[in-house]
Amino acid sequence: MALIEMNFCSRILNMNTQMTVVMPERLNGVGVRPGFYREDGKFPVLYLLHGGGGDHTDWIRYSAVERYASELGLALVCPAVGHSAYCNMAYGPRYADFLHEEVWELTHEMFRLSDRREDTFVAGLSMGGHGAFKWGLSQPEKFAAIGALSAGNKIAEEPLTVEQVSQFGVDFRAKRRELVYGKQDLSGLLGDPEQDFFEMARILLREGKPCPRIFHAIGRQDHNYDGVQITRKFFEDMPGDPFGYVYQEGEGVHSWEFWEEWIQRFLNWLVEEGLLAQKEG
Amino acid sequence: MAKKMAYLKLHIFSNVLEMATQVDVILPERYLYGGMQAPVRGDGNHPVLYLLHGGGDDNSRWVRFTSLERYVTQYGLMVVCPNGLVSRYTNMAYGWRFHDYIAKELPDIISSMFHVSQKREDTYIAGLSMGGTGALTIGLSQPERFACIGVLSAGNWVAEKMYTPDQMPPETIAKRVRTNLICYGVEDTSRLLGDPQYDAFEMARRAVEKGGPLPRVFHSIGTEDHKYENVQKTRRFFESLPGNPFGYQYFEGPGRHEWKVWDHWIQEFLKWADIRVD
Repeated sequence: MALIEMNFCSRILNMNTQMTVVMPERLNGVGVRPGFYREDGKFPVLYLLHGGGGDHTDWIRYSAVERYASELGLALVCPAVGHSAYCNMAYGPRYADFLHEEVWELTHEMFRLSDRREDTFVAGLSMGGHGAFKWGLSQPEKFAAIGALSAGNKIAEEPLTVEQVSQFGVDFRAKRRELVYGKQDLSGLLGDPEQDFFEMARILLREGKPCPRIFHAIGRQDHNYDGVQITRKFFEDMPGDPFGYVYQEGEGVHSWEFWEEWIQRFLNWLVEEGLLAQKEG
Repeated sequence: MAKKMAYLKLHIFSNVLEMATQVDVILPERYLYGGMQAPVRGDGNHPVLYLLHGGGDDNSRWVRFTSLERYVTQYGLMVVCPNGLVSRYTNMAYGWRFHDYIAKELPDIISSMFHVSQKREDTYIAGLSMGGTGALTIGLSQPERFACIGVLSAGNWVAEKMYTPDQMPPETIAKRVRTNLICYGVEDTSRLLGDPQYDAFEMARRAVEKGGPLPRVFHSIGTEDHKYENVQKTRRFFESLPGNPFGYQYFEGPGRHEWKVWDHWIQEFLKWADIRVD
């Protein structure tokens, strides 16, 4: 597995930024099983999104996801978007366009990635889980599956209270809402196809686009637990379960111990469901 | 025009070296600041320069000590800088097989990950000092793979005479002899003249005999370089070949064995290489 730290100039952000890419190799070094290496040399890819205030190094530093991906022959792409909630910020750069257009194009131009929908996945934790829902459901023709850890539809949730907040504090979160969405009360964004992924899901169903599978997980002690149930209810109430929606919960708070475990469960689920091929065929 | 490319640090595992190693890569981006189009090939497959560092340096030096990224942007050229330690880019007698890693495995790894042109006319190799020797030996051992070889402040190592105490301190000479031993298995490398594994002249003769396309050779050195006299042997060899089959050209200018010289001549090499830009 090759770990690639990339510095580049983004035409959409109009600034230099960084990205981490992990590319499969035929051999992996001591103590790592060789991954499945496809004959056509085009790699399946997981776009893996960090949480609020994190960056492109988080997943590599705080989990062993490079090792898990190595053994599956899966490429990883970890962009950096700061505190933007993967939005085109009201006051700040256009991170949604950056991700949905530029990161996609750039990584496919630069690396030998498969451009087939069935080889492409998006996942993330917390803010990145919200971002994975938004990217996957706004461009469902690109993704076979979405993995969302410890996150739901932020637009549909009440702001966290002083008692619930484990990081950043309520004041910072309020300022962040202002920068990202331009307002404090996000309920007005429900139904907005740019912001509300429930609406994105309705639109893609109405337009008959392919539905990515959804894997959704949260820790029972997570401060986001109640908020996440709104998203769970939305998908579980859908007639016919068009997304093949899977909800799971385990013990844990909003922490890397949880994400370390559940990114493995997500990858295993991709393999078990036949979404991530492990042999030619 | 704001010129930018992507700068990548690769941490890879080499099966030939049997260890993890690092590679610096400069990769063309399709768009520059402000959405301007960069000179990227229509088919998306980049021409590529394998660029080798000097003895005891590493993969990061070219990027750190020159403005390489700025120079290559106008050509849409990808640059690959591997780490060769002190190997003289040989399959070391006591050590690692750096020749095979850079000549064979690295291009496979790079091609498996990136969109790289496989065409001879799009493939270049160059280096400074030890890396110039490496470019010469790797390039001439696979003459069908490369369009151009750039040799800066270096020559055919095994043709060179060991330095004498009036040229450099005895302990430095002793270190060079020791490096000869671990790289080539002998202290006096002149014994290896005629050996097609190490002797660039022998490789060149065989390449000419075999026929087929040959890389052009760009050769430059500073007139105050301690290697100046030794490098003239390589110059004489190529200049004496009937018909100049390698399109060999020799250049010299003021300067010692130093980055100011390499910063200048790498730019001249890029101009001389005549890289096709769409």
